[in-house]
Amino acid sequence: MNELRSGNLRFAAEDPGDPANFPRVLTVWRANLLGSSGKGNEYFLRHLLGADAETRNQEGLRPAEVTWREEAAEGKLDLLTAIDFRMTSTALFSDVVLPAATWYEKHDLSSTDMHPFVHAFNPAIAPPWQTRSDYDTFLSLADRFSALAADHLGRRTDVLAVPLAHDTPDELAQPGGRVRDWKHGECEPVPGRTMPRIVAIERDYAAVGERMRSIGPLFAELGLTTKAVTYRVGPELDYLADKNGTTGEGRVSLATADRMCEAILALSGTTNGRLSTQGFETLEKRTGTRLADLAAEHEGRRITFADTQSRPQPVITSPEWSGSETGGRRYSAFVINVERDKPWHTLTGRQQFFLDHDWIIELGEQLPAYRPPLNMRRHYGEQRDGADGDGGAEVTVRYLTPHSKWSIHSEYQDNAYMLALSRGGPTIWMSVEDARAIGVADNDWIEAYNRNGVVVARAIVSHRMPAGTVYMYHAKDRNVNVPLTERSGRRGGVHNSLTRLLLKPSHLIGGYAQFTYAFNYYGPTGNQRDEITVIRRRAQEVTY
Amino acid sequence: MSVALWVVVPYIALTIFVVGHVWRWRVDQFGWTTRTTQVLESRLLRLGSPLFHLGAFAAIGGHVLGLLVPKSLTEAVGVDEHLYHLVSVSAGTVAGLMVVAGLGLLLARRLTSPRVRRTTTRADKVLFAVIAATIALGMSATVGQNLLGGGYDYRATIAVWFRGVLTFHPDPGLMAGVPLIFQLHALSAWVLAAIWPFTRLVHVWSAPVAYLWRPYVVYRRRAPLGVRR
Amino acid sequence: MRVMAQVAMVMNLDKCIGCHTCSVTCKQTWTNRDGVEYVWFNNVETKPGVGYPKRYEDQDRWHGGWQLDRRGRLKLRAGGRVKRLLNLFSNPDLADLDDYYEPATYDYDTLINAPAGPHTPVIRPKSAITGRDMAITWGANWEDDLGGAPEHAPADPVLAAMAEKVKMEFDKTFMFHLPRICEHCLNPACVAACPSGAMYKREEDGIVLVDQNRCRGWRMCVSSCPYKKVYVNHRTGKAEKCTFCFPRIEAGQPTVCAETCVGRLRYLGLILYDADAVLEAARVPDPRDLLEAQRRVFLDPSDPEVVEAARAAGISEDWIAAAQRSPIYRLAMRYRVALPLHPEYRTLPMVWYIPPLSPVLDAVTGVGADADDPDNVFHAITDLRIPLEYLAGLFSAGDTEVVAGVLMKLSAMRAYMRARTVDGTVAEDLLESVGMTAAEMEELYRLLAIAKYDERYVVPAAHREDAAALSAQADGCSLDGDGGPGMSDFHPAGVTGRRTDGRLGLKIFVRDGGTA
Repeated sequence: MNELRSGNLRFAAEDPGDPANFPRVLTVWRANLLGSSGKGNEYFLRHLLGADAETRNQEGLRPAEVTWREEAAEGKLDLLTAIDFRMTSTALFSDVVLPAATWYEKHDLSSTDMHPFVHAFNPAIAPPWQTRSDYDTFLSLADRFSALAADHLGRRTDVLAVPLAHDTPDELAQPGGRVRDWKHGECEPVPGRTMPRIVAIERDYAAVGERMRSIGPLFAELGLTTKAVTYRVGPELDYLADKNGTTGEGRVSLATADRMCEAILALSGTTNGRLSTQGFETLEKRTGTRLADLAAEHEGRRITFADTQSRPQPVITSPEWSGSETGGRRYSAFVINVERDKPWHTLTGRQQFFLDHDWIIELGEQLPAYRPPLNMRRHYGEQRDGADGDGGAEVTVRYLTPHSKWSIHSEYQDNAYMLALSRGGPTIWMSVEDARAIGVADNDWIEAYNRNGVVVARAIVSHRMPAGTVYMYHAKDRNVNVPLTERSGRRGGVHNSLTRLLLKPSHLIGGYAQFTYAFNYYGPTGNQRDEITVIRRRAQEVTY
Repeated sequence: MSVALWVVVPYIALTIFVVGHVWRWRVDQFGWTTRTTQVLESRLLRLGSPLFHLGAFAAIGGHVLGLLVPKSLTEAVGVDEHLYHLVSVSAGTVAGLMVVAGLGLLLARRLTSPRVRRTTTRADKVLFAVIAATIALGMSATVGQNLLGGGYDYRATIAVWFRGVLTFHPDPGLMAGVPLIFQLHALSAWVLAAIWPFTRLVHVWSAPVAYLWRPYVVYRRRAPLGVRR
Repeated sequence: MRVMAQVAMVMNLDKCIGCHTCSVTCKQTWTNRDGVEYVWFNNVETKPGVGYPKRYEDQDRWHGGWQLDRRGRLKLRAGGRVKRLLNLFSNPDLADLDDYYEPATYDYDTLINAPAGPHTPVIRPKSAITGRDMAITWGANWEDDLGGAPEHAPADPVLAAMAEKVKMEFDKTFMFHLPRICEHCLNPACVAACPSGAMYKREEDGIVLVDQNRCRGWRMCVSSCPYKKVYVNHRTGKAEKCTFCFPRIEAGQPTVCAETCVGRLRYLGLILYDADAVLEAARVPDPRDLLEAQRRVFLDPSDPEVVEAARAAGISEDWIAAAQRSPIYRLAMRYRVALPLHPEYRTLPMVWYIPPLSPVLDAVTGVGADADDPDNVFHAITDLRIPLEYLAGLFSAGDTEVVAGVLMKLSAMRAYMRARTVDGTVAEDLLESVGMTAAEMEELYRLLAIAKYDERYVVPAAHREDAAALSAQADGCSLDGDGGPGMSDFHPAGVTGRRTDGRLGLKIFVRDGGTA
């Protein structure tokens, strides 16, 4: 704390350009960060990987409190590993590619809050050639890491800055939404109140592999807590010790994927009636409203992995979720809140439109307000309609990236049938008016660029598109039918080459009521799609 | 030698022709087809195929007349040698030109259209070679001997020999003095007969003449009705 | 009266979202082979659009289907028997591969094997026919979601024939998806045009098939089908078509396209029909009378006389019972919401469609639009986004009254169910205006909206007790071997080899030139 107070110790976020603060090792599995999901693809390529990239961004503004380095760092990562069964852009850019088993070659569980079933994955065949399931891959990596860590790392104490957490008393850390900054002397630095919690964790790096394969002591000591409900799982641990077997230290074994599946099913209220009932009883005491009957019909039921293998299993209503499947109902969000008056996880315990945090007030958004798209021209100097260097017409349009019907993100879009039924490569949908303005006919090659990058694709001209907006569906990678661009002479980018992350300040609010942090991901919020792009017709002769 | 060429070769070819067709009919119904490629290339086919086929029908008709109908019969109905020669040469040349032009177009099509080329089998290549040779030899014979040259009365020799082979009274001696070009044409034709059952040419026997009197809509049962009870 | 049975299908276009699952599952089952790369037994078109193959609905160009001659007799539009044989050498009405599309494949291996270079590796489209690099300029589904519509859709024959011209403007946009399979017609033009007699209609269930052992590749069927649902396999040189998944139908299972339909919009069931009445129905002079004429060919399975005649014709009891439960009979005959596709082709198609409702074009100022009750579209039925004339051009030979009647029934059903569910009231006036009882309305709702699996698919299994039929199974599949959908390839070593069914074959039948 003294180090922090004196300024000797700073938060890494205050100087992301310091090599000591670089992310060094990135493992991408079940994802295509560099070919699909990473917003601001070209920034990833240049700054994270140090690869060729097409950004031409000239930032004018400078932050007041974060250290600014004129030369932005390039190539921060030391190691990029991809675990996949497709040669996506992520795999192509990776230092190491580990071949992954596919869905029908491993044990796993699948479910979604959008339908009331839990499913098993089962291996129809063993993973062929050198592929491995993700589970086995990570266990292998953990073992190797553990062996090396015994010499290089041993036991260490790690000090973490842990964010104030949603569904905990941390939500009351900043009453009234008044923000005070201890760095500016507006208040005392108090971990867990005016700053993150400082937590010391004992790391035994040589034991990582062993620990991955077993359930540690904390489940028994602390229970499992989800959304402020703590579950006591003693009987489940006993059951799992029996079902899964134990390790040398007497811990429940998670040595194989199906054992992990068994553990997940045993420890979740949605598949273990005893736990869901227990959770509701805990909530009843807290809220004073009748809830336990929601799970009562299934209190004695425990869904095993074998059950899910014989057929999809309907889930049990449980406090982790807000819907009710009781009596065979189908999921709908917030049913328990509405029908049983269970308080909402908000400041008022009700649905509320009025938000009173300092930063939200500053943005003028205390009540839902219409916000027009950001004026990218004014903020970032993006150009207007006009002509390009050769006198060819250009048009500047809103750029949107809706989800594709030919893929799940970038999965399946490279499948021969999907390519046959769509147009066999990346396309940009545009309106009749915009196409006419730049002399583009249906299926003509066009280039779209902005300060973030450049894309080459064929145009789909349709009267369904409103003038002034184009779509490039999410997602096609850059590895199917993507030529070199005229603008850069390099391979055209992916749809996210024209985007970048724009953090809305109000999304950084923490430590206050329903704005307090919970682990998830920063998704495509509205302002991400205020992007604009310039489109021109290019030479129809393409080279690859 | 004479016996080998004009008795042995024909009977071997005929045997292969017959046995080969029986085998092919029984064993390879699935492969018994025209192997149409019109969908892949239609421009050259539009002209080449009718030319080739109609020309071939005419040429075959001429062969039936010239080989199978005895001279005595034609003379009995008042067609003398000169008239016969006139008709056969003019009609034959026209037919021949149609066949050559048609085959030329079809060959060009198969060579220049990448789509069609890729459907070509080994049997097709052998067939094209043999059929082209046979036609080329036949055209040379007709044009060289009977149109531009003095004329050769093949009905006195080749036709008689041919009918002799079919009626199991072969006389190889008849072919001894026949001009080389005709001999080669005949041998080439026997080769064609021998390979016929193994090529796409079998589609000829499926000429759908019966379509002319068949009811339009065809029904089939999986099993006869009576057994159903 | 000669009673026969047919398994028929209805598709509810109100629910089709154009996901193309049906196309992909059918293709994966039946046409994922060399020779039929460009073939989609099931395809889904966005309408308005020229479809697949391009402008197939223009029979003035393609001469598909039947027409009446001057004396009112049926004749194939492409000509009579003599003309057919004369055209044997080059079929003037046959579509080219480019009317469908040149199928592409991709060199996926390049991504793994590419050498180090200045650019990220990329795979390029190559023709699946020739193996060469190709540019993609058309496809099996080019116009999906109205892509390219301003340029191509005006050539849609149904659109072009409309008296009131459609302007492709942003706020007047309309579209729907039209999934299509073979219609398995009662009066099939393809069967009639087949010179070799290899094509046939099955007596037991009406499924139309190509006998792969008898087809000689005359390709007259391909052009005669007005729906263009018979295709040339360019490797085998024979015709192939939708089989209505007859191996599944015989087992009492739905077709693959129906089973996998995400939207639960397909229905399968029996229709008992009078085979003796088929030609007479196809011959009615006014095309707009074809709908009712075909309905008269269908027999009422609850009528004791029909049941008696069906039994006498050898139709078994469980089939008669299935016909009585048939969702097709209910949709096409009882509720009359299903309509045939292009009845004017006179083939008496057996895959019918329920036309889609669409939003009222201009809800604020539209004629008769009821601002208080959004479901009350009765007076606005002529103002829906999808022009009545367009739907009529597809499903009723231009008779807009028929289509309007169906759409009114569907919107009445919505309004009725809304009143029942939300207010708990029974809208008697709605029932009266469409001439249905409450029970009927709710049954129609259950069938269309809830669409339970075993109410959608009522397919009786074929009877296996015939020894002859059993022996037919032992002959194996005529499609095993090179080019066919059989499981194994014919790869003999040396000159001869055994095919999968044990027959001896010569290696010269194997296509030279490598694989695509």
